[in-house]
Amino acid sequence: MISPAENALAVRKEALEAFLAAAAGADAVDLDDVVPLTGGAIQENWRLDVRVHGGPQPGQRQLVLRTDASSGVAVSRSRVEEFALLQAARDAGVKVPEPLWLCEDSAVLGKSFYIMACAEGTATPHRLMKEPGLGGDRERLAADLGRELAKIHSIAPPRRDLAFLGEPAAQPALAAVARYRDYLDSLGALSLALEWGLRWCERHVPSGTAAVLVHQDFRTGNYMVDSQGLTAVLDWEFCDWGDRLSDIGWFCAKCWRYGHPELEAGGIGSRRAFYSGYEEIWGQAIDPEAVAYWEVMAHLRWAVIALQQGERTLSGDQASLELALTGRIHPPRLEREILSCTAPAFWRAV
Amino acid sequence: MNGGEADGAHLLSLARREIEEQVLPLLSGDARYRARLVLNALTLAEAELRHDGRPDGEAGRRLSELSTFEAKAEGSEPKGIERQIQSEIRQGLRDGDAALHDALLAITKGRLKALG
Repeated sequence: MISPAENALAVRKEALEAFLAAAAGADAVDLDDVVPLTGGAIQENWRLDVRVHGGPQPGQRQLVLRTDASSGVAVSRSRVEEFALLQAARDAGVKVPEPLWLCEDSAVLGKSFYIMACAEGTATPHRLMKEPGLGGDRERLAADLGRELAKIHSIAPPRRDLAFLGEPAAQPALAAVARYRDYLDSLGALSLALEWGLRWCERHVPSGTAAVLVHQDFRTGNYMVDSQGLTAVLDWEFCDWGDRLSDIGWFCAKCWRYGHPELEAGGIGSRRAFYSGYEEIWGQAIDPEAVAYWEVMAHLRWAVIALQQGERTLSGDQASLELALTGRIHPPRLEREILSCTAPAFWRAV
Repeated sequence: MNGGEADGAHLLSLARREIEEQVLPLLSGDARYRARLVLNALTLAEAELRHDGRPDGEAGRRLSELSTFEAKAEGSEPKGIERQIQSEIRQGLRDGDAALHDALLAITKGRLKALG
């Protein structure tokens, strides 16, 4: 059965082909196949199999079209902003799918979208967990991921091309605590375990580092690997200015280790290897205590996001068993970890 | 004897077993993942039906664990007590409170147990 989104692309096939031809500087482009890609709760990703006639790069190509799904989340960047972020990352030497063309003309698809090159490999976490050969040597992969993250963090404000990010928060950790409390209040969620964790985070903010571009969803599942190693870092929709250690904490947090708690770097390698790759580019030593703080914050953030996802289906925005279960199953597990990391012994005296 | 009519929780339990043993082995890929989601939902719904209205249900457990904090709370409904404690936590009146931490851990363990 054809989905509504597939149908929307099918009825606009000619307009899309015309856009691709003009953008590629080609005489014509034939769209042979359109395949939905996974990983699009908030965005839709489509693989386009095209034949390019004339122009500088004639022949068959595989491209990826990325646009908004029917139900987005408020904190997600627009496709226009995401395209700019992808270009900035590529300029900084980060492995990303090459950003090709942006389309803001709603006459083509009815909404903004952009086209990027198709990266090789897979991003599926359960495949990474089940296939030890995938991604090449895992310690090398962990170090490579550390290097890539450090390259992302080499992008610092002010940047005219990233002006839409606004001014960096003076205290990113305290801003996050306030934001998560607001989210919980707006959801009508009453979770004392999360409140306990947020208060602990409010009381124990470590010394901050200078604001840099933070990816905010740098974790296993959001990068692609082939049999050799890392091929691309994906999903730039939550980027902002912030504390670099928040990304390191997110990547290493227990909730993103996919059943391999002993592999502290995203469930795929050692923390030592990940840190060594990162420090090689940054030129400074990572403060492990500060990262531990951001790992608590990571669990809080994921719990709030899970509740928001649950609410998306409860409020009737999007009927989805997956979203309903996300809001129901994840928070108690995250609460347990938060409570364990913030036991009374870990509270500093005033 | 049970009168011959299965209740909702029993039906959910049987439906879950049917999917787990008869349907799941025939599936792969995305269809298998989707069937697992259905299994998870049935497990949760069954546990909730079994505990509905009983003192060891979710709301009853929360009230029981937090009952020692009732003196400062408005009313005896779990939400009333929880709102009061939420406000106290935000104001810093419960910083490092070992008794509250124990209660929150017990509530969370109960929530996890209900997940199966």
